[in-house]
Amino acid sequence: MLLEDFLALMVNGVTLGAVYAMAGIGLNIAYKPTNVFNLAQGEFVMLGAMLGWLFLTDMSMAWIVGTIGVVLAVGALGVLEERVAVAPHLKVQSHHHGWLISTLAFSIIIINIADQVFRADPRFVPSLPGTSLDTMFVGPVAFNTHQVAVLVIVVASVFAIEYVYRRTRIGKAISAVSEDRDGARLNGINPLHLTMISFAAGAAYCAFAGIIAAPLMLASTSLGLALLVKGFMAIALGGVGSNWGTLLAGIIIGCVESLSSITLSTGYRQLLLLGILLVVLLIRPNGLFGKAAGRSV
Amino acid sequence: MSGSANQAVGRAGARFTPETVLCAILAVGAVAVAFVNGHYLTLFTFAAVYLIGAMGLNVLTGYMGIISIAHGALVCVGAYATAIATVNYGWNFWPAAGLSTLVGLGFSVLLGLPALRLSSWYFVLITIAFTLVVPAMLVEWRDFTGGYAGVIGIPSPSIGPLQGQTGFFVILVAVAALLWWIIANLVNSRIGWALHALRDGNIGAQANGISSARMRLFAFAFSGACAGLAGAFYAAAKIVVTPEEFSFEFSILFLFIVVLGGPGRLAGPLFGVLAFYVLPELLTALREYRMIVFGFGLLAFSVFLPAGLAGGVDQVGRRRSRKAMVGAPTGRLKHEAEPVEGASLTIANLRKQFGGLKALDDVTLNVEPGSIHVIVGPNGSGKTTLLNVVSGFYPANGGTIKLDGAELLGMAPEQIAKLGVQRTFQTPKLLGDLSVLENTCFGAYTREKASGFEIALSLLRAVREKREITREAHQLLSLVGLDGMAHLPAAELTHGQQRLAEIARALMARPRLILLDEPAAGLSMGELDRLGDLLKEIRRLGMTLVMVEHHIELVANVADHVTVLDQGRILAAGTSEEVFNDEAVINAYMGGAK
Amino acid sequence: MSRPEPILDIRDLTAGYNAIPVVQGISLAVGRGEAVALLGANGAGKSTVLRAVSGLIRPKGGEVLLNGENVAGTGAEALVRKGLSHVAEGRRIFRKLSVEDNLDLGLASVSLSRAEVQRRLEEQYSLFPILKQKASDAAGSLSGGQQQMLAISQALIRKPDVVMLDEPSTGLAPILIEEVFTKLDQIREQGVSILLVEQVVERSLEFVDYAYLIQGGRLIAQGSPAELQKSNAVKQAYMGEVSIR
Repeated sequence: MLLEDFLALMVNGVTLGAVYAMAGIGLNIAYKPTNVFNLAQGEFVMLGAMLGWLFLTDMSMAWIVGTIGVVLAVGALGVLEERVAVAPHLKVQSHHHGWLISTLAFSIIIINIADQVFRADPRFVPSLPGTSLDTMFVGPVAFNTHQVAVLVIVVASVFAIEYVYRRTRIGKAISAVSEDRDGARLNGINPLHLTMISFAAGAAYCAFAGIIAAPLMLASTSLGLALLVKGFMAIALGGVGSNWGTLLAGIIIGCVESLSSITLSTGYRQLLLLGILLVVLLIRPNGLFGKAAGRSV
Repeated sequence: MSGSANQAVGRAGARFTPETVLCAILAVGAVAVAFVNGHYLTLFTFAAVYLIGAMGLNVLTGYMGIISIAHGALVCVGAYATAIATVNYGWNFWPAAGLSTLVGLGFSVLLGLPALRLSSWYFVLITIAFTLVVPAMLVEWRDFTGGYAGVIGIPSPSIGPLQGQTGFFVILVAVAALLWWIIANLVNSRIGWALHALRDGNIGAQANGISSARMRLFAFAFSGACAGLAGAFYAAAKIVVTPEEFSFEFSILFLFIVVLGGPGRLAGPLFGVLAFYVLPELLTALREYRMIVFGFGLLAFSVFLPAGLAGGVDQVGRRRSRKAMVGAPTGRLKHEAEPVEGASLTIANLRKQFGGLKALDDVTLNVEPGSIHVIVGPNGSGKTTLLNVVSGFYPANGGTIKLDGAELLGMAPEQIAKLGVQRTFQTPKLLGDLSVLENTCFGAYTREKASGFEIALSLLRAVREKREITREAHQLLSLVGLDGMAHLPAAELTHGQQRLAEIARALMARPRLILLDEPAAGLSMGELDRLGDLLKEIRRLGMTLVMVEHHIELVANVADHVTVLDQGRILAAGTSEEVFNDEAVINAYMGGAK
Repeated sequence: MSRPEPILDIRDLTAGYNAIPVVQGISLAVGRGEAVALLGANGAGKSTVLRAVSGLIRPKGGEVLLNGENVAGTGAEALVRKGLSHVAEGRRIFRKLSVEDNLDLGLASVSLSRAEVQRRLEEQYSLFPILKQKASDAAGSLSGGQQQMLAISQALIRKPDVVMLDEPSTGLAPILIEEVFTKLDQIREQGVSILLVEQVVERSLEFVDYAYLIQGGRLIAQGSPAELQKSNAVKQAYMGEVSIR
């Protein structure tokens, strides 16, 4: 294999992995105050991409206007999901993971409505303003400016998210809720607000991921499930709740997938990733970089 | 009295609830219609296949509470196993079906392995990934699977005179009925109760000696085997299998059937198949929007009717006419129970720290076999922590705990339970929707000898053992004064009664050491007297008893030995008279704090 | 001796979990500036009273008057804003967050300028100097006594009218218990009304102005500490009927 080919695959893999990581980080955001793993999270990425096509390509809106519109719309959907599918389950203290069913139901509704609305054709979404999808070279490395922008955005977003959790009161309050819901209430923190905010933020973040990912992978309604699985793999390998770990794991997954495409066809690549996931979870249940936390009973 | 109760339990699987009656009517109706009309015969043939698959998933998702998206994908794998074995290699249907069953079981266990240690939502995502991989791999392995063209010409099963499509249908109904019976046997046994306890996250499950990993493994294996078998029948019914049929929707249909039909209920899958497979097939107009409607249905059910259709029918039809009879406490066992040889408990230099907090600080104590040893002390002095460390729920930071000389530290709660250590909890951990009698019988978990296989097929030893255990449970319930409430759901008892029922459950295991956490809290005066007699009876049987208790009167009345804990340290030890006359103890207890 | 006008007035409170009532028809009052103890044996329902009053659980009946306003059924997060703080049983601090972040979250219900936040932090640090030393440590790494101080400080930083403390002495060494009561004295001097649930009965009775005794979820005695000490009720409620000597 030529060095150029290898580097091109790596660039592709890193960018792809960054998108997987974004799906995973969206899951983390919604998970933090609720301990709910939102199975509809992948569909928010899909909706971001499809609505991105609708607003930016079909309706030719200015990029920033259309993007804000998409992010707000999907964020609102996140709140709706929290209200109808998650809040009722959080109210009752139980070990039955009722939310697994209800968030799955929510995602099925989204997929099938989206299928009716957009049909199955892949759609084109324009690249970020000021960037292009044209290949350019720096030495042996082939890339495009959109890819660079995606990477910068992902890294910056993780910095921003970590800043919010560590430095702002709302971020600390979310940590407090995840640790002790009643304790948080006794300090005047309303867990329901934070749950709603987190679901809205997680959905909006994923919608944004969809918009910036769509130029790289074409938007279609089948995107959601695949990204949910990749996002899950990223957090399972990177450690649930660890955004930096998720980013790193996402990029590793992207690179493995990209490099293996030389020898493996699609089905085998998926099988390879599933195999890696099973093995890692068996050997290191808390993820590749996770601390060995006590297992939950 | 106990004779009639035995019979009641014997019939437990076949009680005539509205649910079962409606079920029987629907099933008979379906079979009758199928025989009249060829179109319906095909429809109900597939319905029976779905039912077989869904009953398997009900064990995993309904009874065990682990959600799987991959059930359809396992059916798919089973279908291809039979298709390839019969068409490409010329096997007969039945060995091929056996192969399918094993293949389904194997894949299910493989996917489930990480979930033995991790939270079950990992399993959901692993199964989604698997469901996406399977059709892709069917296309990749085209030499083997025929790619998009699939496998054509799968033979139907036949047994003797049961030939052709009708014969196939009869076979399916028979297999479904057999599977129903097996599951009914399982869920009404310690295995079903164990699944139930684990599903509810019941900590008592571990204290009762149940290994969560083993039960999960069983549930994965059982449901996978059912999926594989259903796959074999599916292939035979279809004659042709192609990757396209096994879409994500196909896989998720099984989950719809189980969750909407009534998870954890015998009749659930039947209701589910009729309502969510047969009905939509009849209403063809609905088919395009079926998934949207199902999605909304799933969302609504998960919030408003988690018990599913079967649960709904049951609620509507049930008339609550049970009356509680509080039996007179006998305080004695009617029949002479076999004495138990109590174990000694030797704790030395035990330390337990939570962060910066020393909960147990160099605790050393000796419990004589067959004695009643009470641990007292103010709140937060480490009494419950001590019980939790001894029973394996908390790891210790140092020291030793020896049961008859064998080290307990480092063992899991269920291992410790198997050595003959039983415990109760401050808040009783009974299974609220099971009857008091079932909860008590459940206590015998660690000493039941009948294997899962014997239980599933209701073989002689399992039946005999169940009868014997039920008899003993009645005895123990009358000992604690709850025999009149044996058939009430445990949740309907007061806290005090639940605590007594929990003691009965612990005694069912014939433990060598029994740990009680504040048994007197919340008891009425009458119940308190009974508790005192009960504790003495436990001692008379030879069991060693360690208890944490606040009620000084009770302690003074029964204790052979009292240890006073304060801030994780031993403040005093001796007989109750010695201890309660100790100035330091009175101060610590009454809060002199000087 | 007449008691001051009540700032917290609980009337005929019934509360419990699921269908089972744990406390039934409890009435008690905390006067402005008063320290009041709620005593009773384990399982008597003391914590349930506090949980129902602070809105962690919804009372099944009765009234909770805070500054004259009936707040029964108001959620805990809203009651904090009305000046009622509840330091729950078992040192409910956020173990993974730093000490300073814990105190900062104590102010989650009020919006203050940065300078005022800093001033309040300093105020707490001067009351609990140990917390200043440990300001950036994870709260879970503190010792039991320090965690208790943090939990109390977290409630005080928002300057409540009434503080309810659930067994602050639990699991502490006598010397630390004494320290807790010294702090409580200082808090009372600042004019904060206190409702104290405690196991260390005698020390509590020394501290409070008035006390209530509950058993089996019902009020069985009340009075000034002197009156209660004279009667045998306390001893009975805690130790059962047996005479010790």
